[in-house]
Amino acid sequence: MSRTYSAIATESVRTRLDELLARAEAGDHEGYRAVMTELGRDLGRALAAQLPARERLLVVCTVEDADFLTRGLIEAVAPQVAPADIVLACFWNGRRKLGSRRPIDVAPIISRYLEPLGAMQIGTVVVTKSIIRGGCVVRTNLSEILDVVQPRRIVVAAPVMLKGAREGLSAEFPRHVSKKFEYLYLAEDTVRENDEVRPGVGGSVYQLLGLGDQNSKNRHRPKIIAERNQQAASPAG
Amino acid sequence: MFDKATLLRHGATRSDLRHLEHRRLGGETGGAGYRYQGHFAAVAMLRAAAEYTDSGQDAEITQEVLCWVDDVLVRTGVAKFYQLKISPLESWGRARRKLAKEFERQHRLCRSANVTHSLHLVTPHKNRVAHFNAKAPASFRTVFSAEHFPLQRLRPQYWAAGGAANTAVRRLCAVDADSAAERDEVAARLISIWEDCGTPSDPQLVSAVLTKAWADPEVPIRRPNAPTPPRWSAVTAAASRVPGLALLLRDGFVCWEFRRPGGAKESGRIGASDSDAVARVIARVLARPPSDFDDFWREL
Repeated sequence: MSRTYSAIATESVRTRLDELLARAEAGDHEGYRAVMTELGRDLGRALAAQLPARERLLVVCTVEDADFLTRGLIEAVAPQVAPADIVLACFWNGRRKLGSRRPIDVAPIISRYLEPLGAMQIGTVVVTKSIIRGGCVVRTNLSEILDVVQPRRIVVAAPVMLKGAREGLSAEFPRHVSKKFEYLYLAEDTVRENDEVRPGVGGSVYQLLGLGDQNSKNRHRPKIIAERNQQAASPAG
Repeated sequence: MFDKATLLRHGATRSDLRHLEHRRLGGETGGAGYRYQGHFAAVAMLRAAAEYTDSGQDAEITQEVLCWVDDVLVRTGVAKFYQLKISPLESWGRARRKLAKEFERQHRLCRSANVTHSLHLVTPHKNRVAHFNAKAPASFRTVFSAEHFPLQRLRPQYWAAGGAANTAVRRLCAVDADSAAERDEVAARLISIWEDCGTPSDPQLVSAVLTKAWADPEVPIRRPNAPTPPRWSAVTAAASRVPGLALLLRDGFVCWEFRRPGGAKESGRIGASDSDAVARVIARVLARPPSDFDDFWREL
């Protein structure tokens, strides 16, 4: 296995990454979701340790990552950041390869959910993604967000990254934006076969999470959206 | 635009033709200058597409034209010839007036062939624009202008921020011109169609590119003559019974918006107004009018 671990990947985190692969192998959607949520907590704890007091956080995710990886990360930063200071943006992305002469990858935003940004500045934007491979989805969603907010920091948080993906993603943005990028990850893989990173997160994340293919995952509504809106609507929220 | 016989008829020698052919092949082999030219041509196509969408004025775009000012040609009623120079040292007098002579020959050729034309020099160095305009030789000054076009590494950087490309792509977006993702998608779709139409030196009509883009019901591009979907008033009324929900028709594309009481906003797109996806959603919403947003989501 050609995998290296980051400094924040403790023994227990490494075991969890192995467990994720085992759940993928077993086709255990519930187990896979639970481990992915735990990995989100691992990333969230590492992020919380770096956040200054009274930081406002905008968490940007895709529909497939919302209820698991992103939920875990939000739960883990909660002791450091007040719930009202966490803003969630969720995107439902399609994937298309356009053209044949010089194919262009696009990840159009089919639907979006954005909580009010409020008057106070967003200090940190965190983009969560179960795996960073080509960066097309992250680039699309981040570009969309950076049109409306100008954070001090931009954190790209993922359990697994493909080697070279960081450089590729940074190169997609102008220097004044990419110099704000920080990459928070647990493992880095070097092998890519048939568009899949090996061992990566064990395969196609939508399917492993039990959300079906690209079309069915884009019909899914994450529970976290309803929960957050219920909290916002309740007197205590 | 000009074939070899035309060039010979209007003063070119056989040696000139060999030189022009050689230069054209050199241009197609790559390098930073060629990438800059490709970006400029792509942006020219997007600008022409926005113009066609707004006013119906068609344009034909060609790269590597067989003539003296040969990088990019945009033909509307006027043939606009563009020469791109990325070197900051470029000037009219450099290399024994090479650039000036090429523009002079191009002007003579167009006049002789009775082609209504303008000539343009494009540079990524803003401070060189005034120099090229002020020092342009009198023989072609009346048809000449220099233009600034920034040197970017990646194409989307042209329409990410302000500038002519950003303005053009905004004019092409149907749903939300403020969305960077939509601008990217619309531009990428048009460029991929344009590139698939032929080699850069094949003349491409912008109307043909747009016709192909309009045929893709998923692309949120403005469709000026798109029909209003059948039973539109009924379906918008049914959707609007859900507080905060609106079904919208924007320049031939159907989308929706939902504002939650707490301030969170959701939005999404369905498809071109005459697409199967829109017809399906209309049929479902009218058959089972939604009582809340979750009901509506299920019908999408």
